[in-house]
Amino acid sequence: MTWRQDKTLWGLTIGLAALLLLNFVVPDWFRSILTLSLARGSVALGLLVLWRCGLISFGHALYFGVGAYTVGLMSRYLGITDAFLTIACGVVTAGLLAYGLGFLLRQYRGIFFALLNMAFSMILYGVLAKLEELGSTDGISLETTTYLWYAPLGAENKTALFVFAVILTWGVAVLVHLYLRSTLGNMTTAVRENEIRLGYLGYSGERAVHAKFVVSGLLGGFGGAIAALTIGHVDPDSMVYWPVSGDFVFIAILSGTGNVTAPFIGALIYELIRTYAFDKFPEIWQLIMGGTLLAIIMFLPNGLWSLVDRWRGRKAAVATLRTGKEEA
Amino acid sequence: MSAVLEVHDLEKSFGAVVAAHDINVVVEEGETIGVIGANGAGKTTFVNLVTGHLPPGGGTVEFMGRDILGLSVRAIARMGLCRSFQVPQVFLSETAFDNLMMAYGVAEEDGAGLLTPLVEEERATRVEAHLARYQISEYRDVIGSALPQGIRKLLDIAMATVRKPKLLMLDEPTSGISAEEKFAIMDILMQALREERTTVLFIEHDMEIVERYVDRVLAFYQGEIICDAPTAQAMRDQGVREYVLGRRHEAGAEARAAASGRSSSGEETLAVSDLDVSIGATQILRGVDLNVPSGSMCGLIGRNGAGKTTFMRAVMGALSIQRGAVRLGDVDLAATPAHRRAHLGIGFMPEDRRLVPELTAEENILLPVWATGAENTRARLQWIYGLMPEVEEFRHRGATSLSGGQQKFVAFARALMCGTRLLLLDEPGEGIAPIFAQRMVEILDDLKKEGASVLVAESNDVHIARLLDRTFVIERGSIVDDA
Amino acid sequence: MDFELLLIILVDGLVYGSYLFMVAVGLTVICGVQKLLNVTHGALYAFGAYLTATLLILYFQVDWPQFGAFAVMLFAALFLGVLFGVIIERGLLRHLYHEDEHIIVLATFAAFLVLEDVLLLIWGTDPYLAPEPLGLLGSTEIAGLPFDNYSLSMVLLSAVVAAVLWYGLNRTQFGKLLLAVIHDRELAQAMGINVNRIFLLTFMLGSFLGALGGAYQAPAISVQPGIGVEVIVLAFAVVVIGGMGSIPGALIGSVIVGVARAFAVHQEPALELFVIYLIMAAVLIVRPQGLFAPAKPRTI
Repeated sequence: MTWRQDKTLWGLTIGLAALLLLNFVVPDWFRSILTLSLARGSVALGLLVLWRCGLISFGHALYFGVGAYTVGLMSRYLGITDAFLTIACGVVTAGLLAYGLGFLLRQYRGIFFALLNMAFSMILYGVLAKLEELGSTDGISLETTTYLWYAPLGAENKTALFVFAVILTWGVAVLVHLYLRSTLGNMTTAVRENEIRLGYLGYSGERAVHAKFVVSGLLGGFGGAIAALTIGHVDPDSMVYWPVSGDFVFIAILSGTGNVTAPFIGALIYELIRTYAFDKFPEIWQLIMGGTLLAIIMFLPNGLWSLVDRWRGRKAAVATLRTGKEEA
Repeated sequence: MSAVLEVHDLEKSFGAVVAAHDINVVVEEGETIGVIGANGAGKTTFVNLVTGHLPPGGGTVEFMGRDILGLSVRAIARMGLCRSFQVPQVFLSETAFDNLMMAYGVAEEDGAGLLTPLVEEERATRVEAHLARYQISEYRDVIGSALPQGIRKLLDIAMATVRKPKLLMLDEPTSGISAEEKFAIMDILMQALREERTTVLFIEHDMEIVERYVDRVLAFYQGEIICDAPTAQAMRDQGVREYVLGRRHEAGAEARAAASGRSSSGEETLAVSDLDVSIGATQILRGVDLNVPSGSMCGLIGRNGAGKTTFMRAVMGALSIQRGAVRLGDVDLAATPAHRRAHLGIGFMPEDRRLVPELTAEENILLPVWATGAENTRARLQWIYGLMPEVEEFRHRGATSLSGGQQKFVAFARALMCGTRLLLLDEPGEGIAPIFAQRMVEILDDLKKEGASVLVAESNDVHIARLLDRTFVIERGSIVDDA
Repeated sequence: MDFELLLIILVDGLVYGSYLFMVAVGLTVICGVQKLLNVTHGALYAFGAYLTATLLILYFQVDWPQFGAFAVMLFAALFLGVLFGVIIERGLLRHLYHEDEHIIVLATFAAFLVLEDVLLLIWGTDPYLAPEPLGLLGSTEIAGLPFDNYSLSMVLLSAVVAAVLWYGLNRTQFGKLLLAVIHDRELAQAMGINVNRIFLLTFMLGSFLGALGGAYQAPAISVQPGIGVEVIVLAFAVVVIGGMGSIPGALIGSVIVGVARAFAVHQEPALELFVIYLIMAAVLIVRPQGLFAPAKPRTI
């Protein structure tokens, strides 16, 4: 498959263009919803990478939080507000943490993997919520973001951040897509269903899991850093507490594992439902969220993307019948 | 010719059980070797030890002149010693094409190469050719779980040959395949392997297969090789005839020819007709007809994997029935919730005992009574203790402190407790010391005198033949003999 | 550190541990029998606390015997246990038993979100206070500090619950049937046990215990939104530490977590939450099955 034939790359690029154009028409509040969707979508994309091989983490708020707090602490203690540098540091810190913990976590499967992740995320929560130096429960407010030598203010800064986040997320999504097409990235069903067979084919399931875990950690850190810049503030309760991890899993379930674009669409829908519910029905917004999740589990167990697959599947089946060997 | 594999003094034991002892084998390039032996003789253990899946207890293993003892499965596979599996280990939710593509990717890439795209045109061509070689091209886009059993077996073996192994070990290539298909599948397989000039060693129970495809036979018995000779010679070997082939082989073909759907007179306690059962994607039972007349003792005889346990689990309601009817007297069991069977008077003794570890022997025996609220239990318990006085002796001991044989008796007693109309006994004599097995036969004899309706599953009927009113022989999921 | 401080830490830890135990034990019972992690348990705790607080406020307006307050708590817990047992087990979980374990956890998480808002719809956001029962039992001075006997009585209640459950599981017929189900669902069914009914009863029992935890805690706290979110993740930690499905495990786990937390609170308050999850992670690393893994029969 060449670059030009890759529908996902086209989809991502069209999405990129559409978002950049939207920048001129949408109101501020919607732009911030879009940016947050990109942030949460990135974390959910990390969960997708894991979930394809049958693992779910109930603690990815850990990497989200590490990414966000790296940005926050750099702003507070080092006075570094450059978006490129802070995001890079947030991603690398989260990736290193995932790499380290990965040596341990790669030995676990099923519910133990999920819960051990939760334990680690709650350790971070405990630290952040208690230590004054780290802002305790109030968190840390960020200084205005700069971009290399460009230091816009007010509305211009918001535009800059949006454009910046959109382009960067596009790049990240493309990289993940390429990763998922690689031999290592394709070791999904193999890990989920049969690590013994994978071993006899010549690769270790644990190493595959470790690689995927690092990828998902990097994505968690990236999402956290973007979210920190967008909100302009980091705090433990809305970024590291266990329900935040629950939200990420929610988005992953809502999206489905079919495609790298799915988590971003899922995250946007999630943000929209949440914002709308919170605005119109403040008493029952959680009820609406919970009801949505239940409905997805019951009626659309493979997420929103399964609708796309179903629609495409019909076309693909026709094509296969006609030519015998159409779809790979 | 040069040696591909040299194994010397290989040892392995699990606790007190010796699974491999004093194993010496030299495999020459280009040979096709058959490994035969009864269940539990150590055949699969041998493969597991050589391929690095199990750490050996001692000995040396040299592959292509290199010591591979203690290396990982991965490293050994990369050197060119590959295997297939008794139960096909394909990725069930991926298509045949994607299964092989993954195998190729792992075989061809390493290090940074793992990050290059998996699916590329050249590789796809190789995968297509591979599918064609095993004659499964038409199943290219069918996912693993939807593949017919025989095709799944071929795919499993095809995946094992992606690395062009110097030596390929096949674990029962025809198990689970219906009798009609077995030669066709083996022909495809052996032809493909010859094209690749692969040295092959395969485990097989089916002597027709062994005689037809194998140059040399290794016969295992209780973890040791009792015969290593060219096929024809091995088949005549006294030890092989006694310990491996057994009585069934001689009866073999003639009995099968005599098989018929003979209808029996008298009332049926259990009446099963045309039963199909699958576990997951694999069809295990194919059109089983079986009747247990009231007051008779029937045998269900077949080797491991033939479908005995599946049959019993289906009757007990643990597996759902795809097709066919199962009736107890005039009750349709297919329409009865699983737990009602004990209430109806069916007692089941699972092969692996399955006692509740926290409870004493007697509490385990009484479980069905508590669950069903049956009456007259004191008398029944006394009757059971009359049959099995040894159980009464250890009735207050915890289940975990009992030996395997003792646990087996408790499981038997538990089945008797509610099995007033029908007893299903899954391999009562399996996995216990000969003295216990002998005692088990005596108890069955007493039970027969009491006029109980019983169905006993065993891998051979040597010990219980004289007790049986009727014998059903099950092979590859179908009843092939009924006498 | 002197002896008195140690004593205070110990008492504090036991009180906190028994609070954790009351919630965790119901969770572990459900976990052991049905093999699922039930997030709605946190909502049961919150419902127990809210319903009890409301009923107590009403109860103390009429001139009935004051110790009747304890009967009110029991009633509230029983009512909620049966009600939610039926709704959640019959209405939701029964349709999901064949699903992946992660999906079941998420479904209970979703149900938990729904219940959180139902709670708010019924009781609003204002805190409820019903401290009267606290005064009923007086107080005791330990190492120079006054402890109210109500809190201390929670240790007693936990011990009683643990003992009753242990007895029920190991010494009664129902308990032994339950053990058979825990150990081997298929075999239990073959022996004539109605596993579906056992599941419903277990879920009711677990829910009752969760609600009872909230009910008994209600007078000691300010009942307000968010108490369920906080408690469920603590209870998870305890259950994981003790071994999923093990009642002695929940007991030991609660005591360990309770004392460790009390130690942190008195010595290094910043570590309060940190220490609980550190223990959880450490236990998972060393013994993934928890401290008390279920018994296995001899295989050879």
